[in-house]
Order: sequence, then C-alpha cells, then structure tokens
Amino acid sequence: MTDQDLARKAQKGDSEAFVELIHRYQNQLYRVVYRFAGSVEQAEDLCQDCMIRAYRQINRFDTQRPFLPWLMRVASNVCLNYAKTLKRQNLLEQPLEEDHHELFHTDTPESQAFARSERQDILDALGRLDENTRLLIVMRFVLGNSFREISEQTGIKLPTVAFRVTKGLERMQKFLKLDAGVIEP
Amino acid sequence: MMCHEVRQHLIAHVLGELDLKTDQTVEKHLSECDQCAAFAIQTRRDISMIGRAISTDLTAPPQMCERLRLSLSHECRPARQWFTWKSYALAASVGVLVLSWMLLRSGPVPINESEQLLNPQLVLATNVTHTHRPDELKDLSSLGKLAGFNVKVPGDNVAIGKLICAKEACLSGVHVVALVYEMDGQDVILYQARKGQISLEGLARMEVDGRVFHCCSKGPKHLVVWSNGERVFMLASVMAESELRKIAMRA
Repeated sequence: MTDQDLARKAQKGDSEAFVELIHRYQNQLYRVVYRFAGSVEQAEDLCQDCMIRAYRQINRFDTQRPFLPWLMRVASNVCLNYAKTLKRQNLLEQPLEEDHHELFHTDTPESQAFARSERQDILDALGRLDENTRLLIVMRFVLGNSFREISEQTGIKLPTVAFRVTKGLERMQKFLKLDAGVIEP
Repeated sequence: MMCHEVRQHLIAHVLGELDLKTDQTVEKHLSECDQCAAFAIQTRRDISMIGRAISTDLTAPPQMCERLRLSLSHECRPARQWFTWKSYALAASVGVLVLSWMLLRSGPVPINESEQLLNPQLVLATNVTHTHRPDELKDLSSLGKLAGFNVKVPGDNVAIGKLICAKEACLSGVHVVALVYEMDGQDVILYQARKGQISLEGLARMEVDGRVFHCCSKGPKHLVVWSNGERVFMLASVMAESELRKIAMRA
C-alpha cells in the first residue's frame, strides 16, 4: 500500500493506517529529533509529540505530495516550540549527548577514544548554536537534504536557510578551533 | 573574485550548494591561489568531520510505534479539515459573486449608524442653484447607493434647488460627505467627496468679506468644503467667487 493510500485512510480516521505510515519514516524522524534534542529520553517524548500532532493535523496533508517532508515540517515546528519552552525555563544550554551505542569505525581503543571526544566536541559546538540554525544543520546532515529541500520542509526561505546553515557551520568551526586552542591568524 | 569573497562562499562550495557559475568561479580561483586552496582543504575537512559527527544511523526504539498506537487509542478522530485553502478560495469566490449581485440588484446600502460621523456643526447652504453637466450625472446613482440615499438621477442639465440635507459619514474607512438637494419637490440628488482622495495641494484659503473659507477640491466632480469655524459644503463646479459672497453673507 502506498503512502498516499495510508494517508487517505488515516484522514478518514484509520489510526492503524497512520501508525503504519509513521512506521515507514520513524527512523528519519527519530534521528532528526534526537540530534536536535540531544538525549534519548527527550527525543522519544518529542517524537511522540510530533506523531500525535501529525495525526491531529493529518487532514491538512495533501495526499498528492510526499509524506516525509510534511512530517518533517510538523517535527520542526514541534522541536522549535520545545526549544522555546526550554529557553523560557533557562534549560537550553544542556550539552548534546553523544550516542554511545553507535560504533566508531576506528581500529584501536586510543583512536576510538580520540574520535569519541572529537565527536563530542562537535556535538557540543552544535548545541551552542541557536535552535533555528541547529535544526537546519541537523536536517542537512542527518537527512542529507539540500538547502532547497530544507526550505520546502521548514517553510523558511531558501536564502535564509543558506545563510543560517553556512553561518552556523562557520560558528561551529570557530568553536572547535577555540576549544582546541587554535589561534586564528 | 577576491580571496575574501571566495572564502565567504567556501562552505556552500563544499556543500555543493553554489550555483554553477559561482561554483566555477570559486573553483577557478582555488586552482590559482594556494592560500585559498589550503583554506578550502581545511574547510572541506572540517565540514566533513562535522557532517560525520552529526549524521547518525540510529534506529527508532522498537516501542515507539507501540507507544503511538496506545496514544492514538485515546485520541479522537482527526479533525476534519473544512477550511483548506481550496475551501477558502471557493468561499471567497462565492462571496465576491454574491456581493456583486447584491450591489447590482439591491437598493441603497444603509449607512451603519455606528460608522456615522455626523457633524453637529454643519451649516447648510440653502437655496443654491446648480446645473449639472451630463458627465457629472453618470456617477450620481452609484454614489447615492453608497451613501444610503434613494436617488433618482435627473436628466441632463437639470437645475436643482434647495439643499435639504448634508451628511458626513465614514464608509469602509473612506470619509464621505453627501449632499442632498430637493428637486421638483420630490426628487433628491446628491454629491459626495471622499476626503482621502482629495490631495492637500488642492487646499486653498480664501477670505471673503472678512470671513475665512478653506477650499478642498480636486476637479469639478469633487465637493468643495468651505470652512469658517463652522462648515459650509458646496459643489466645486458652482463655486464662483460671486456665489461664495452670497453664501458668506447668508451665513
């Protein structure tokens, strides 16, 4: 059964069809939300919020279009709202968590430890970006989306996406150099 | 392209997001400038490292869909989306059609009392005689409907008599002044001015027999508002100075 068939059924109130539809894209959703939120617990809760929100709004989905971009749009709204709430509670500056259960494709324990620390530095730098920029960079590298696709999924204008992603990456480079003690000329 | 410009584009270049022309320019510069080329290599390395660190092949926890299923069992059926953009467009089209039909078919549109800005200081200039030119008559019917008067459009070059009513109102944000004249004891015609459309350049100050009048006009079809603390409304096309003197004397 195609995504469109499932979406039409879901629009008629078939929740099982919606679960089936979500099942097809749950990994992409989880990866984006996890990288944005930074911890497994938060990611799971946020994913639930995204999915429930998507179900409630399923009738706004145009079944002639692909489902994943629409789901990502819902997810980006949920993530940004969540970040705003955290900001109000001054809880945003939490370091993003490294996914320890991921395998590092390196040979020795020393190089594995080095790669692990390097990765954590990068995730820390990502966590220091503002939530809008962070979400766009996550969508770029987790989903491999182009600027145009990100623009379509988030509803943010293409030049703004390009500006935020490039400036965000520049800032991350600077954070990493500063953390490594590299003095720029 | 200068070095600093190339460096501004390097991240987009590394990500493959530059348009073809800019990309080729950057590429050409990198082949000629060793410093920028070294900078580009470092940028490529950084971005690649960042990309690898952020990308993940995590899979969603197996219980995620089960949890969703459970949540949905408590959820109501998704709300029917009555108001999609298509329905908005349809409603707007129907609205425009109905409105057009009403405007064409209906009689006078009443002025909303709450919108009226009746001027208690209004001083009517009575017993003014005015001859309408044919081109002035064209708009009378529609103007009358707009201001809420029953209008009978007189024939060409009709002399009108007593000004029986003057009314100021705000209709849909447009300031309107309406004048009603008695004609042959029963018919009325009216004129209106939309102040918003009268340019300030048309404002003129006149002093007649010691009284100050301000004129606001934009062409013969527009009303002239003369003021000397009180207000007198007249038509631009009849407002010769000699007539003004008569009005001033009466006022």
